[in-house]
Amino acid sequence: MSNIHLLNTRKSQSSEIDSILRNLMSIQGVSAAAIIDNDGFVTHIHRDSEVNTDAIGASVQVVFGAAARSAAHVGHHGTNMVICENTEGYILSTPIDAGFILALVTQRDALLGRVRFELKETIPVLKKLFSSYLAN
Amino acid sequence: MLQNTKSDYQIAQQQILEGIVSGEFEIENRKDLGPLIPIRLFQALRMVALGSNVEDILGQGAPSLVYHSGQSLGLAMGKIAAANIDKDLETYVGKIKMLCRQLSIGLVVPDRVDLNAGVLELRVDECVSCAGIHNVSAPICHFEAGMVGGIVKTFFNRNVKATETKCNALGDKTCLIRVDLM
Amino acid sequence: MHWFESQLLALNKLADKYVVSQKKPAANIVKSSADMRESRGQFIEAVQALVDNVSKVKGIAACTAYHDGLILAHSKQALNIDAFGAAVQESLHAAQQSAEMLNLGDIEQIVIVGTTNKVAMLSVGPLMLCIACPKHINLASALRQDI
Repeated sequence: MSNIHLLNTRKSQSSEIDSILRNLMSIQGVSAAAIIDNDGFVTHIHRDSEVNTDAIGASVQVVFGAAARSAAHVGHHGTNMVICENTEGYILSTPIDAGFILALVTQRDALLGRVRFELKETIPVLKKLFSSYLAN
Repeated sequence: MLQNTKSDYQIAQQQILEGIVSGEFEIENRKDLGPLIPIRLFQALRMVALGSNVEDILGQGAPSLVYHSGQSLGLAMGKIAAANIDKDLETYVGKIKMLCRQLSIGLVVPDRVDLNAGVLELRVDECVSCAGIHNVSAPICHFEAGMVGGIVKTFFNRNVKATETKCNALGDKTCLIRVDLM
Repeated sequence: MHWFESQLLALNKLADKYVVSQKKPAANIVKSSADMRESRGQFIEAVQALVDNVSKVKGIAACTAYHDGLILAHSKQALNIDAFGAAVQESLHAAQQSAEMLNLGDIEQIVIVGTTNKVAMLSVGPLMLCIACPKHINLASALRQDI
């Protein structure tokens, strides 16, 4: 495969990842959608207002890791989603592939089932996109 | 009455960083033992307390925490080095090299600086975290990667992604940290 | 066919279309991702439209849609949506157990009638559509009314 073809494939995959995040942002109450790598670095983000990406990236990884570990302590293996319910809204994080996590920040008026449904349906696609994106 | 909003760890952090900024390495209450500690004690803190123990609790979140911790130190070091240098990269790097040597973090050597591509690669020879450690399966100096990331971030005032691409503990004889400017 | 039946039918078709889009072999990941997103969007939009329309019907107290017992869409007048969701999930679970014992097949509808109100739950693709109204309302004829 030529380098140009690989570059185009990567570009279209990256733009599809952006479209997915934009779509998640269009759900009522969603204020930020981000993809975080295994070092806690925010690789893609769409948001309504300024957020400290370094801090949120590391925190999401830490919270997800801690939740997955506590699940393992009670014999639950394979953490599919961590939901953090706050007074002002929710933070939902879902693993994608190779340590990457998709995180959504919502306001209180977000419909949890709507956001969760969209996340659950989006993850298999993101997994495919990422495994191909990382392989290229 | 004003409430102290700083945690005890933040208070300690401030005192440690002020000690580093002052360049004064003598320390009170260490009359006989002095300011230096064996490297293995540092490594125990880094690889056990901030390594395997954190991993036990945080699982895949551990490297992020370690990277973030290193980044905080790097940001503080960057502020020290960036003072009064009029944004001169060479002077900045010189001050960072000196600071890393003074603190025995390692010998920092710029390996590649390609600002057009937005990539910098810095070698950390004699890295304090992984010296004398062997047979790991992936780079383990997330703290140093975060630190270098924080240092570069401070100078360029841009988001960066620092990745350790070579590690002494992997048998690479040095640690190489690649920093991508975002 | 009255409007509710035809809208419900259209919704089921959209749910099927979405399932088909998920199962399509993905030679082009980007295109199949966009296709899936589009059909999912159409399905969700149709769910919201149905919920809005049902809630306009005279005599209907509230209309909601749930996924795994969590709220996905609701009419303006819906109250206690979380408690409602929990009840839906529990009822569905009980109904599924009974359906297995009695060889009923997949659950299509559950109706709970109380002395004051009643709730009808309809399975639509991966969701449960819930309609609440006073006990005396005949849901079938109410939903036949024009809106």
